[in-house]
This record gives sequence, C-alpha cells and structure tokens, in this order.
Amino acid sequence: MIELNQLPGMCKDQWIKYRWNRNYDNPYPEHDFEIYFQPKKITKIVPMDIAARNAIEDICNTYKNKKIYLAMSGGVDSEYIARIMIDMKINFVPIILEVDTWNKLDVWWAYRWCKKNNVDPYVLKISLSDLLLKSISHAKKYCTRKPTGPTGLNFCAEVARQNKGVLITGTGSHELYIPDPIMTEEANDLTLKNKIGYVFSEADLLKHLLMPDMPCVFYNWTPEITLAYIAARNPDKTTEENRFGIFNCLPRPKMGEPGPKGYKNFSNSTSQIEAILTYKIFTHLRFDIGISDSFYLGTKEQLINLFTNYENI
Amino acid sequence: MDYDSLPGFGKDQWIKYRWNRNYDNPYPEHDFEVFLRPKLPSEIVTLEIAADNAAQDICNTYRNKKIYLAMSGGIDSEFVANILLKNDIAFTPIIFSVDDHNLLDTWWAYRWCKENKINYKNITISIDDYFRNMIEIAKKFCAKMIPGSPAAQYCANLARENDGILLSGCAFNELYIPDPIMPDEANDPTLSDKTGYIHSEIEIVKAMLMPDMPITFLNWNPEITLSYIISRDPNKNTEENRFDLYKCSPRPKTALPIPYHFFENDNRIKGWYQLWHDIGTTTSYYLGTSKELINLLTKR
Repeated sequence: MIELNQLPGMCKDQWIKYRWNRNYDNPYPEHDFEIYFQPKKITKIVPMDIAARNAIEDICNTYKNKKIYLAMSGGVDSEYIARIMIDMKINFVPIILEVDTWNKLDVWWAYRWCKKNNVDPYVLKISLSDLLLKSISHAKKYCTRKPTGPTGLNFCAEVARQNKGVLITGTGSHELYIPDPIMTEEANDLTLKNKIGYVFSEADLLKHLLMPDMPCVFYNWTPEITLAYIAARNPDKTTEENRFGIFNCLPRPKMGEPGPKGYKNFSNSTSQIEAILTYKIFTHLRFDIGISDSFYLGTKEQLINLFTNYENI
Repeated sequence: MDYDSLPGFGKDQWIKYRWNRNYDNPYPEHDFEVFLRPKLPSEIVTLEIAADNAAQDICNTYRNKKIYLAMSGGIDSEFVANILLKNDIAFTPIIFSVDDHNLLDTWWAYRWCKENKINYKNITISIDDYFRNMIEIAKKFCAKMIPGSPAAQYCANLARENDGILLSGCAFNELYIPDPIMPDEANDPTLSDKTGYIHSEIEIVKAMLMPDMPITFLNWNPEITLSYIISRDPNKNTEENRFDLYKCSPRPKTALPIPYHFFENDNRIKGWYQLWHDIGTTTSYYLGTSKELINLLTKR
C-alpha cells in the first residue's frame, strides 16, 4: 500500500490526498475512490466570510500574474465566491456556460448577478450533444460515472487556459444529512447507509483530474475554509437552506448537470440518432460500473476533531 | 357596438371579449378583441390595498365556495397567496406538474407552502397527456397560444369537483419592448412601435374554458388593474417591476409547464406548432398606452 503522503493530491499544498481505484480491470473495488484530508497544522474555526476571503487571497498569491476566471452556474456556491471577490475588489471574469437551453433557468441568476454588479461575463455557448459526447470520452478515459458536470467546467477551464488564467469553481465536499431533498442519490447509496456527516463526490474528484492546473475545488482549497463551512452548518436545516443562509444569497432551485434522465427528456432538440446513441452509452456506463459516487469522510465531530486536534497532525 | 351582449370575465364581467379567429376565417382583422368596460371610475390606491379589496370581493362574490389557488411557482400567484394569507382567507394551493419538466418552477410553490405551513394539492400528469390536452384545446378554439391552458383546466376541474373556485395570478401584460421576457411580442407586426398594455390570447382561451372561475385575479376589478398600471416603474423591465411590486424573491420562469425546446422538434406536438405558425396573425390584443388606460379607468 502506498503511503498517504505519496498519493496524488489536490488543493493548496495538495493537502487532500486521493486514490482512484475503479478501472476496467477492477470495476467494483472495495472503494471506488478514496479521499484523505491531510492538514499539516492545526486549523482555527473562523467565520465563513473570513475563511473565504483568506482562500481567495491565497489563490491570488498562489497564481500570481494569472487572470482569475470564475465559473458561474447561477447557483449560490459560485455566486458567493463572486460576491466575496467583488467585496475584495479582485478583478475577475465570470464565465457563464450555456448548454443549448438546458440550463437557461440556472444561468438566469448568473446573468442577473453580473448585471447588478456591472461585471461583464464571458459567455460560452455549447450544444448539449457536444457536452455529452465530450463527457462520454471522459467517462471512458477515467472509467467514471459522473462526467457531465466536470466536463462542462472543463470547457470553462479551456477558456481560462487560453487566456493565461486560472478557473475557480464553487466546488467542495458535500454534507450528508439524509433525508434531504437534494440527496436522493446518496439516500440510495448502500455505502452511505446510516451515515451522516460529509462526503466527497466522484464528480468533484473528476474536476480535479480534468483540471489539475486549476484551483477548482474552492470550498476545500484550504483546511480553514473546509472547517469553516462544517462548523457553520446548522444541523436543523436542509443543505439548501444552510447554503442560502451561510452564503447570504437569495434562495433558488438548481437544475444542475444534465444526467441520463434529463437527457432523455431533451433528446428531441438534438439529432435523434446522436442523442439515442449517446444516451445509451451514458446510461450503460452510469449504472454498470462501480458501486458508489461518494466517499464518506466522517461525521461533523470527527472532521472538526481532525482539523483542530494536535494529535491528528 | 353592443358590448353587453359580448361574453366577459372579471367582476361583473367588466372585461368583454370577442373571439374572431375560426376555421372559416383564420386571418380576421383582429384575431380577438378585448374591451375594458368599467362601470364606475376607480380611485387610485396602492397595489396592496387593491389586492386586499379584490381578495375580499372574490370571497363575497363566491360565498360558501372553497378557494383554490393555482400556484405555478411564479411571483404572480405567490403574490396572490400572500394576499390571501394576509387577509386570513382559507385557501388551498394547487401545484401542477408535468412529469418533472417544471420542477424548477414548482420548487418555489412547495417552498412557499412549507414556509407558510399551508397544505396543498398536487396534480401531476404525463407530458403525453399534457400534449393531448393542449392539442384538443387548440383544435376546439382554433387557438394558437395555449400551452398554459391545460394546467389551468386541470386545476379548475379539481376546484369544481370540490365545490370550489379557482384563482390564479393571471392578468393582462405590459408591453415595453425591448424586454427579455417578450421575444414573441417584439416580433409581432400588430404591436410594432407600440408600448403600453396587451391582452394575451391565452387568457381569453382560459376565460372560454372556465367561464365559471375568477382566475384572472390581477384584473378582477378595475381598481386592481389600475393600481398595477399606476405602480409600474417605466425604467425597469417587467420582471424587475413585479419583483418589487409583489415584494417576492426574484426568480426566472419556464413560463409554460413544458420547456420551450419541445415545441419545434417533438413529434407529439409538431402539428400544434404548425398551427401556431399557420393560423392567425397575432396572439395579443393591444389595449392602449399606460396613459390611455389610466384615463379610461379613472374618468367620470
């Protein structure tokens, strides 16, 4: 077994280590992938706004002389980052990705935010077929089940790369408090049965695999911001309500990424043959390989202990 | 013109209409006409007061009837819900879904009901049934603009079965081009260079489908109609005006219970889409400028 510190990592100083286990020779490993938080020093609990400002400052220092791009989906996660950057007077370019009319109701929020804050976004328009075909190639390459969201972001990263910039996204580990309206997949995941706390999603790991040169997992950029969110979360509220409150953003629903079901609904607007073929491959991969899309990180108490206790460092 | 003989809707049928398009005459001079016929001049009051008055008046008019409110998740129906709640009027929201196509809209309606601890009724139908219904309505009336009408019809049926009436956040629309939510109106030659207010075909179709229901809450009487016109800030677009006037959290809207991308390509409704483009000239009737309407509604 390779030692943890020899594993590849992500985020600041690669403090999050990971191991990707699923492959075509072993499509059902014990863990599809593993994530290990390896903070190097004790972390203090600070309010979310302070942790977010520190993370942004740190990203700016780490990627000095690079233009900052922010993928704005219209969700509260990316809007919060945008607001903090505006408050800090950091020059950045929001990227709004439009996938045909699929995410029209999501990006409405991003356009609205840009208009209200007099910020010109970079608008990237792609077709749903392009997104899905590219997603299929990523699914094949990484033997992954959830390629669509990361693939969309990789289109944005390409814009950043071409302009000598870096891409920030509103990505981070997720809470797991079942039942929760936005956690239907986790509720049916056998590896997460009877667990509460935090999970890392396969899609977020894939974002790093596709964009290792980008600080794309903002909400886990440092142990400090990871801990700040965990400490701030109110266990009596759902995930959505927590985020509306912690990020101080207007409430909204989210379409999210186009999945197999949604693509079926959408197939009439693209080439039928291409749509059906893509859909079949996509669905096949999604349900026939691997066991879980999530890696369980621990309870809130375990994670707070991990970040704040000397014995763990 | 003998307006009294025309069908109407709103309180005391103060809004009269004439439906002119049919299979013998698919291109009449006006596809339909709408006439505002207030019996008395209206006082100018705030939108909130006018809405309170309209809610009380509907309760008195339909005494002993249960009140149902079609809640799409949009701010118009949420505004009506807030008014009913504020006036202690018992009502049941109806949340209508077409499979999961409008879940980003209904999210708001569910959220409102949860936050206000109001029990709701749910209607979910398949997209096949929705299309079937839509085409039947289009055929029956020789109508073009009908995508929202099956939803209203399902809700009205539920209200009827329970000895109730159906309210909705429907009303006539402002016309201030360019406006992000008015691409159809921007390309309508009959509205070229006009600003002010229009009545949409879909509201007339709803009135023809459910003449027994006071569905157009925001045009229930001349007072609430006038108060909206007066309150509108011409420097803001329609969406922003409504967010402010209704004091609701902003949001986008699918507008129809099914996403627009189905229309052009889906075999199940291609025929209807063809009908949309091949009959009639317009889906709107121009009512007048803001000034003209204020004059009409306030004159003695």
